[in-house]
Amino acid sequence: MEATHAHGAGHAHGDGHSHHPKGVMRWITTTNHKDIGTMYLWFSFAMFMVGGAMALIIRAELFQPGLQYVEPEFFNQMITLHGLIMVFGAIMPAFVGFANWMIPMMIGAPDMAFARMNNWSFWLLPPAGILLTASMFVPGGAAGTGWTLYPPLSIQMGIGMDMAIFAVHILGMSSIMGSINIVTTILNLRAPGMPLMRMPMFCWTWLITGYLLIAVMPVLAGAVTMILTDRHFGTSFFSAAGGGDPVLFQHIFWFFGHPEVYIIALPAFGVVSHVIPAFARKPIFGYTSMVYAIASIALISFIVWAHHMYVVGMPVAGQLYFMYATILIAVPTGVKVFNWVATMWRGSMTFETPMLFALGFLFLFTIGGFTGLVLSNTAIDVQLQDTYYVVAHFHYVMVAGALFSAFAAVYYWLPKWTGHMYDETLGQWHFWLSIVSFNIAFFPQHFLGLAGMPRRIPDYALQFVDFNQVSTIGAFGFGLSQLLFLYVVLKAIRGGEKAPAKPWEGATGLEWTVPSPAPYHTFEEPPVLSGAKGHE
Amino acid sequence: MNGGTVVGTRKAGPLQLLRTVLSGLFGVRHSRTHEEDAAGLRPIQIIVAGVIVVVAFVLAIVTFVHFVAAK
Ligand code: HEM
Ligand SMILES: [Cu+2]
Repeated sequence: MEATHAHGAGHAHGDGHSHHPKGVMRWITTTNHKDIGTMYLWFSFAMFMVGGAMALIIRAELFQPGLQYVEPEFFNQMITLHGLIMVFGAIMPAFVGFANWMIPMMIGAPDMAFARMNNWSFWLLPPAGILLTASMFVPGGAAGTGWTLYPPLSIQMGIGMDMAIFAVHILGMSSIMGSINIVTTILNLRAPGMPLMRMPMFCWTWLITGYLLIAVMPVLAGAVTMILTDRHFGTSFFSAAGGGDPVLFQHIFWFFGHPEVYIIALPAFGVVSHVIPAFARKPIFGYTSMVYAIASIALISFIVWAHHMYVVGMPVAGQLYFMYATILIAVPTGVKVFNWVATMWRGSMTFETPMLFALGFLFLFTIGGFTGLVLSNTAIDVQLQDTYYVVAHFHYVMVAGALFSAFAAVYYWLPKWTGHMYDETLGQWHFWLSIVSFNIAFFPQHFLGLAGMPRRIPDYALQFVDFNQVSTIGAFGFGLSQLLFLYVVLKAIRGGEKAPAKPWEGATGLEWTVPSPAPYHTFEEPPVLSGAKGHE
Repeated sequence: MNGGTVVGTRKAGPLQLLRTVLSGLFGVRHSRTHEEDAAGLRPIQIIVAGVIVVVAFVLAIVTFVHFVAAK
């Protein structure tokens, strides 16, 4: 602290610090929230490409019935790794990356609260990513259980399963440390004059997500550790032969799993709650009720988990309980959509790329929410469980929800990060290609599911051919469109129109008061907040 | 909070707390009633009340299910 002050007062801070290691060592040793945020984002993009390639292998195999390209065992490994890599490697690190870059700037803090732990949280990720991808090449291959890792299969697999368990442990540690850091930063480092109820919505969603992560990642770690001891140390937590119960695993997993889907959704809500007001040029509608609703979504997400388990066998009373609770959680979620629509109501809107992605999010996330409601009905879910309908549901909420909101975030903040405007025409192309191909890929999966096509199989009956072919074509279109995204981002990093400090007319908040690109150190002295409302 | 005046010291009753949490659960409310509440409530009160309401929420559904599922 002393040191920062003594020399922060004298001269201007730039990238040219002589005592900073250069080259690779800069990135390995960095404790700067911007460097770490950048690394999170690139790691996430790399994992997005790896997981995406796996998805294309899956879709290629499903283009025709019968087996064409891969063995069924390998197909199952692709299903598993695709899910784990996308959830833990792509989506979650992307939002931690945004948090690292933006939260200190949004609240006027010089850096994250625990700068060194921040470095460690990031550097745990690459080993986990390597473990997961490398597990494909060990004897027996990767885990073939699906991302849900259900026993008894997960007790029978080879060493690839152990690697997946280890990877999940490491990823969990990273998430927990990242969350502690974010929560502490938000609670302790806000600029004087920024009370909690005036801080930016993205910080609120991350504060609540942080608590969710701290609550449920240990649960997942416990579940996979029990699998590990069942596999190697003679316990029988989940093995009926030894007096255990495989269904117990499903309860523990989904006690983590349902809050997990909100861990993914809430920061996405946060991003959209910045982008829509900025491009509608109106403050967010119902800031306070939004905060309360997000908090209650988080609490209620703990009491609905068994809607993933309607068919494993539970008493009717249990089914009814989980059905009613799940239907009720849709109320605060629906109110969010209402808030965003009301924000746009009579605003003066423009449709730059971030806004397009936010609107795409709004439309498609709502579709995903509705199919979730359909599935929450036990009588219907008994038909649809483990069919492509479920696959369609969660891709609408995770891809068109979380991923589109991540794209909105990248386009929205790219000028701040790089100092250049991205190519607006190409950005809009990226949006339209993505949203059209996404719907071609996933909308037909609703029909496939309703017609009874099971998920997680490499082969299928003839009546499913047409929609599968449409879906595969869409999936390849979606995958290729993302190369355009990479190009747009690289182009903006290398040059382009100079971005002003606040490139978006309607944007509000402290992050737009610093120059673009944001200097290596920002807010070494806390800013003076003049207005009553920090977020406006 | 707001300018450090003493408005914030007025004590809020349990009913008002309940109203805040329930409207939070629902997700929309009048901004005026919110300002009134915000003046008298501390975060810890809201958190404790929120957890209690969720427990009550679970019990209410369980009771309801009990009647629906009864023969
Ligand atoms: C309105 C809110 C939602 C409701 C009512 C809902 C309901 C459901 C139900 C009942 C299932 C189980 C279907 C089955 O396996 O038969 C399910 C699956 C799933 N949901 Fe949702 N959901 C909602 C929102 C979300 C969100 C926001 C996400 C993530 C961002 C999400 C991600 C998932 C995933 C990943 C699965 C499948 C997990 C698997 O079996 O692999 N859902 N949802
Ligand atoms: Cu769920």
